Amino acid sequence: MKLRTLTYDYKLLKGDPMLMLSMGIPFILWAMMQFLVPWIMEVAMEQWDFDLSPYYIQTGTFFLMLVPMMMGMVYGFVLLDERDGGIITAISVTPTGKKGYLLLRMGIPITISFVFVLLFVLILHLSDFRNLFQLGLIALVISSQSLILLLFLGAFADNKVMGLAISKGFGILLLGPLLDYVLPSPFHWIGGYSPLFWASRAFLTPDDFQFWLYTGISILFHTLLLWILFRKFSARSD
Amino acid sequence: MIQVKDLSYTYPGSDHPVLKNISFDIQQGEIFGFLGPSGAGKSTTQKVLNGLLKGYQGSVIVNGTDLKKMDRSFYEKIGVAFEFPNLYMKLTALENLKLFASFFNSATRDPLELLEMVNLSADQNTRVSSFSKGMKMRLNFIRALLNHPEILFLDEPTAGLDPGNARIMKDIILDLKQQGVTIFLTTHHMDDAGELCKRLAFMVNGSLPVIDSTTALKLKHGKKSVKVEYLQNEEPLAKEFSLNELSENQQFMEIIRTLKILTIHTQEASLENIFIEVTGHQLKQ
Repeated sequence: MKLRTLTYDYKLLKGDPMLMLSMGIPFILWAMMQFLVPWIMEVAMEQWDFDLSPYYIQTGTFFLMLVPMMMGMVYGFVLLDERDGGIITAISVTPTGKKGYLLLRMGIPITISFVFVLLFVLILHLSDFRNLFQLGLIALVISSQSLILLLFLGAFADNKVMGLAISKGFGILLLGPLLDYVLPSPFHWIGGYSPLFWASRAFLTPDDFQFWLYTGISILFHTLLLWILFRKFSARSD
Repeated sequence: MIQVKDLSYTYPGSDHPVLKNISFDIQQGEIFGFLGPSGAGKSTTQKVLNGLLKGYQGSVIVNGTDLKKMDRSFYEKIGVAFEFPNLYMKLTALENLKLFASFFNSATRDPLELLEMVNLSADQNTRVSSFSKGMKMRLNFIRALLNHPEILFLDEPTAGLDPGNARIMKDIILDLKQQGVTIFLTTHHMDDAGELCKRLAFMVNGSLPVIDSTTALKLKHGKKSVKVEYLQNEEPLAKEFSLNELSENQQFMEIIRTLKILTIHTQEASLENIFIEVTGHQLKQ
C-alpha cells in the first residue's frame, strides 16, 4: 500500500454529497462554540439573569466527543459501502489485504479527529492543560472513539441499511458523559458504561492524579473494545 | 503450479461439507476449466485456492506456497477476477486501476495499456457507475492483470459480454496462456470451456467425478456418426450414418450424389451433454 492510496479517499468522499456534508460538521460545531453559545449565554444573562458560563466547558467537551463519533460513522459507512460493492473481498486478494485496508480506513478518521480535537481545545481555550503531552494523550483517547464506531459498524453491520439501524444506537455512548453532567453524586457513575464518560472526566478534571486515573481507565476501556471489535471484523469472511 | 490433495471444507456452523476430498493438479501455462451447477462448490474451491477461506482439510499448494503457511506476499503474483465486478463505482476506470495498483508492492502494469486491451481507453475518465455490465466486466478482468500475475483465477469472465468483446477477452486469455500464465477458469459457459481449456473438471455436490482433457472427453462420449438432412420428393428427411468406412456406405453416397442436401453434421457430444451423461446433473441449475 502506498501513500497515494490516500488521495483516492478524498475522491471517494467527494463523490458522495452526504459524506462531504458530514465532514463539514466539525466546522459547524466550532462556529457554534465560537459564536452561538456565547451569544446564548449573553442573552440568558441579560434577559433572565441566568448564568450559563459554568456549562460552557461541558458543552464544549460534549461537542468534542461528537466529532470522533461523526468521523467514525462517516468512515464506517464508507466501509459498508465498500463491503456492499464487494471491494473488501477484492482488496483481500492483494498484498494489502483486509487488515491493511482496515488500517487505512482507521487511520484517516482518527487523524482528522485528533487534529480537530487539538484545534478545538486550543482555539476555544476549553482546558488549561499543564502540558501538551497530556492534551495530546487525552485528544488521542477521545479520537479513538471514531475507531470504535467504525469497527462496530464493520463487525456487526452486513450492509448500509443494517449500519443505519445500528448507528441509531450510538447515541447511548454520548449519554454517558451527559449523565455525568446532570445526575447528582453518586448516581452520575451510572454513565461509566460509556468509554466517553471516562474520557470526559479526564478532560475536565483539574486534578493531576484524577487525570491519570481517568485517562488510564479510558485507555484500558478503549483498547479492550478495539481489540474485541478488530478481531470480530477480521474474522468475518468478507 | 497448483496441487490440491484431499481437500475438504465445511463452512463454520454447518454440518455438511461443501467440498469432499477433492484432488487435482494444474500445470504451469495450463487453462484448467472448473465446471458445475450453482451451489456445487466451485466458488468455495476458488476461495480456498486464493487463500480467502482458511480452516480446510487436506493440502493446497499454489505457486509453491502451502496455503496453510502463506503470507501476504503470496498475492504479489496472483490475479483474481470475481464473477460480479467489485469496483469503486464513484471512481473512474483509470482511478480504479491506479488505486488497486497502489495495493501491490511489486511493479504493476500501465493501466492505460490494459484499458486499451479491452477497448476502454475512451472511457478511462468515466465514472464506473455509468458503465454497462459488459464494461464493468472488462474493467474487472484487466484489474486482475495489474500485477503481472503468474496464476489467474477467473470466474465467468465472459458473462454479460457481447460476442465481439467476449472474443477479445478469450484472445487475451489464450495470449496469457502462451506467456506461461496458469489460469483457473470457473464457468457455466460450455463453449468458452471447450475453446479455452486444455483440461476440465466437473464438480457436483462438492466432488469431482471427472477430470480429463477436453479432447479425450469429446472422443470418449461422442457418437462416431454423421447426420444428413436432405429433400426427397419435396419432403425433408434425415438419416444417420456411422463414420466408419463412410465412403463405402452405398446409401450415404447415393443420398449425397442424387438428392438435395440440407445439412451434414458429425454427431460429436457437446460438453453440456457429456456433463449430464457423466454426472447425471444439469449444468445450469
